Amino acid sequence: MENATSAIALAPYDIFIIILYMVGMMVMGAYYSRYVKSSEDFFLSGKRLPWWSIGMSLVSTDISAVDYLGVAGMGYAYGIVVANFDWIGCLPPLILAAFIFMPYFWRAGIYTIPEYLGRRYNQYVRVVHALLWGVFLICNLAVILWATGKMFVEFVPIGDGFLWGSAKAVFTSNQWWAPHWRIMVWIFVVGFVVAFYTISGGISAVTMTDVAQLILMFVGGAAVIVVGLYKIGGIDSLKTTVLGLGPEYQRHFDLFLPADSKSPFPWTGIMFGLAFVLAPAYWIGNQAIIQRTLGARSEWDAKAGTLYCGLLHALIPLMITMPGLIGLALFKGELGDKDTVFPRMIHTLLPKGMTGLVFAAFLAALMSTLSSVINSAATIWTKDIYQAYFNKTASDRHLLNLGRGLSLAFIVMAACLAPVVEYFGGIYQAIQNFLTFIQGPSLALLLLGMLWKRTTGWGGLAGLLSGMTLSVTLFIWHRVSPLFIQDDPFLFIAWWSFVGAMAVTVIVSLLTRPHDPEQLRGLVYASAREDQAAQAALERRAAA
Amino acid sequence: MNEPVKVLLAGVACPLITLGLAYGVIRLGVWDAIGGTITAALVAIPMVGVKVGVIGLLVGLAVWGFTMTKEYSFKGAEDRSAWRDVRVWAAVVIACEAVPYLFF
Repeated sequence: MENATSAIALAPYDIFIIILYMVGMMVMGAYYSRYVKSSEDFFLSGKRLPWWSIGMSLVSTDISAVDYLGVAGMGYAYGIVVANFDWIGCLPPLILAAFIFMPYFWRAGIYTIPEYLGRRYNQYVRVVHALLWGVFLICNLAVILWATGKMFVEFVPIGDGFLWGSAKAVFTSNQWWAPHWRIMVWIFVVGFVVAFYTISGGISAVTMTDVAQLILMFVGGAAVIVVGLYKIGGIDSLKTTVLGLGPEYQRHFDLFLPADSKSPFPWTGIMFGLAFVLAPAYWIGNQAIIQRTLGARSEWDAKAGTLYCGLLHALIPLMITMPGLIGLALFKGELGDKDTVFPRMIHTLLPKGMTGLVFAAFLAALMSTLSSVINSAATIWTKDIYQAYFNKTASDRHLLNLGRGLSLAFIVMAACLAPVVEYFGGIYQAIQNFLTFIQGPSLALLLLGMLWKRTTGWGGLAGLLSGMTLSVTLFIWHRVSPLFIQDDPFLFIAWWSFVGAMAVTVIVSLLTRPHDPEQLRGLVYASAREDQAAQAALERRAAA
Repeated sequence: MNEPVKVLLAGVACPLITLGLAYGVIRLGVWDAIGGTITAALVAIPMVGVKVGVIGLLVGLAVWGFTMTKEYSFKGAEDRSAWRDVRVWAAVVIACEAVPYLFF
């Protein structure tokens, strides 16, 4: 996303709004620090989160500023088909999560998905899964921070005088940072604000700041939509204008594209790759997402919060996909880089005061995702790696301090290493591909582990390793000799790695000794519901 | 053989076997044959059929939600007020998200 924001300088009162917003977030973090007395408070909010905060936080965590830019750009290039990521690619797994998985995870009292996998399969599955997610989350932090810094530099240019001169002296002393010192200044400023409220208030602060940030995101997004539609002349005019641009835009208002479409989003990819694999893997198996439902104050709040997220998510395409279509109608398909459509619209449409508001919305989207990723990375490294393998008898105070320490370490590490993103041009895409590699096999393990008693630890380990190998193989092979019609078949790779992982897990499970039924009590959904003692144990845990 | 050794062997064997099978399936033309057949079958499905299928999936989810018992629906809730029935919530959310699929 080079030059994605193309010189849109903010006025002083816009900057005032942004400073006010950042200070507000830090004050909220400080406020919630009073409720953090234990590791459960830090990682799971002491199981006190109400449904409305869970729902809003889930949406806020999911949407980052990179989505504002990237999805609007995809809307510009491909049309409303990308809205499927927030509609059919979101709702079915959320319904399943609300009625089956979240209540179950909540009652089981787990902190992380690797923890569940460790109990259900074996510790090897737990450590592989934890390391994959632990490393991914940290790398993702660096990518998000870099995107933040680049965006900030475009909106708020930094000179050489006054305080900036001191900052320049600090950052240019490091050869690695020197060429990008302006970006590094903003990375450290934003990183400091996020680190402050995340470390002090834990997931309570993360969730409640997400609530405020989502409101800001909706207000900012609505401003762009309202002004844009007014300028275009309404929805009918939008459709007429876009369809009149040429033959390549005739499908821009179709939610489903033919199976042999060369775009990345044919209906087969949307249904099999997205709706059946990537979306469930994300909404059921992504630690940064499920952690807030694990912190729900009751099982009902966990269910209701998940469903509330589904309702709010229905509005997201209006905020991030429709601007792409409006931009297409406004700029008549003349933009060189499609990812510049959202910033160009802000620059073209909005008066100065509203620019600051929308920029604050961008910032809110970025910071909500950053804080969630930091907290989740710290949870996994503390509970699934440190406590599980290095210090089983660690006191709760020790774990709390470690969680805070790791949160700080991760943000500092990610901030310092963020320039790597620039030197490896495709690293953003590489990080997203990495996620695609692991989500299919992860989902296979979660589904089989929870729904089929016969799944064994060896089956799970074999399925996880084979599934990942298959997805990497397909990805690399396709680059050398096309295996799919689409140029970017990530949806299909996810589907086939899921199928492969399922097949291997089933076959190896059937060839290996089954688990002792006593070992599975409360871990398999059906057995938990059939076994009165296991159900009672889960319910006692829930009531505690 | 102790367990860590077994895990190490599994860590080597699984990727190698998967690579071998994938190589065989692709190089022997099985991938193209199966992929071509599946693609041809899916391309033959009319887009209206796809849309009906998706709406059917959403309706099915709403119906499935109502198979949950009332007790399960209200489990953990502060009271049993009608607005807390999460089965109704699910149906409302599904209805909202089905609308675009009717028009686009």
